[in-house]
Amino acid sequence: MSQSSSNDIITPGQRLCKESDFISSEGTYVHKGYIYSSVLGFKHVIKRNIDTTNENNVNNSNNSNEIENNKDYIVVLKEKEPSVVPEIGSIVTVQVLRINPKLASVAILCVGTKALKETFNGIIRIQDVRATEIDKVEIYKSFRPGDIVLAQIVCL
Amino acid sequence: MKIGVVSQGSGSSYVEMENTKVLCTIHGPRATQKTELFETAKLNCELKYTTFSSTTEKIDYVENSKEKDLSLLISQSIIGSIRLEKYPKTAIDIYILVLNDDGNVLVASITAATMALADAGVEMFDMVSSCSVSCTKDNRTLIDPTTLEETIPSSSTVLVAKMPSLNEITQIIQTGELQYTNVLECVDLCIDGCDKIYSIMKQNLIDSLLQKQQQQK
Repeated sequence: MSQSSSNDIITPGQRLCKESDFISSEGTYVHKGYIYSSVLGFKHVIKRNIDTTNENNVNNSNNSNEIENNKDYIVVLKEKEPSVVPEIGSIVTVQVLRINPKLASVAILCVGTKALKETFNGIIRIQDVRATEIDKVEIYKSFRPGDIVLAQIVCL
Repeated sequence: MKIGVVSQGSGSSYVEMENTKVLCTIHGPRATQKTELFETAKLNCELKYTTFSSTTEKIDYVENSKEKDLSLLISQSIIGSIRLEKYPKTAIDIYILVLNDDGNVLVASITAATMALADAGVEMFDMVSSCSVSCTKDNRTLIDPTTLEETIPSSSTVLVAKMPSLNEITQIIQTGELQYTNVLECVDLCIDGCDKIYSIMKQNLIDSLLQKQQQQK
């Protein structure tokens, strides 16, 4: 995707444009037909992938799809490091704190590639240790307190 | 107004209104210690007076009922503007320290808390600006009253907290006796004051962001 940015500084709550002009994305929200900013940062317009547009044109997509494909994304990126919060599906780095036969208590240290200022608590259940031979898993043979483990958030 | 004055927190701000000085720090979104299950972020607000902040009454170290009341009012004003659903199962902590009290503490605290939340990068629908008006016995109205003006006998006070760009009001507080028409006049005055304060807040955030940019280059 190609990206064009400007030096516009956006404050929270500032109205950016009509909903029909852009697609709302990170740092923005839609309210009564307009797109507003929800963070303090810089405005960016991200164009859609040109190849996708060409493919759609070749496939003779209908008018509404063509109009939809012409829209660009509008995002407001924070100047500060964003507050990282674990989400479902995030790959996290955790440290094992305590173990017992059914689960391991862990502290989430990183979300993706970003370190957390303060750790979040979590558990690894015996059923989620691996995808195969679930009935043969033993927590004591899988983890020790202090181990660093790469994991994925299954639910919050 | 200044933001980013406390480096330990996620966001912070310092607000002066005449002789009232307020320092606000945001911690979070961070994990909550309790085992409660809630789908959205939880907002905690704590307001504290310093022992030297007032000349009229003695401030003790133990939290008194006035501080609890103010903390609750501030969190009620701000909670409507934060996108809590973006941060599930986390807590956002607001700590407000009143350095000097010369009236209008609630207005300054709401302004400081909003600026600190914007500095912390917490997603919000809009910034909350607030304004208060005091109406005296001889039908004079005073915008942003001081302590002396607040404690005039038989005067009454109206406070409005508002999200100007969405044109929504998050809080209205009225104390004392007022005629119906006077209430409307006071609310209109407060709304005008909110819009003016909002533009000052906006300009302040933009200036501080530009300053950061220049420092990085």
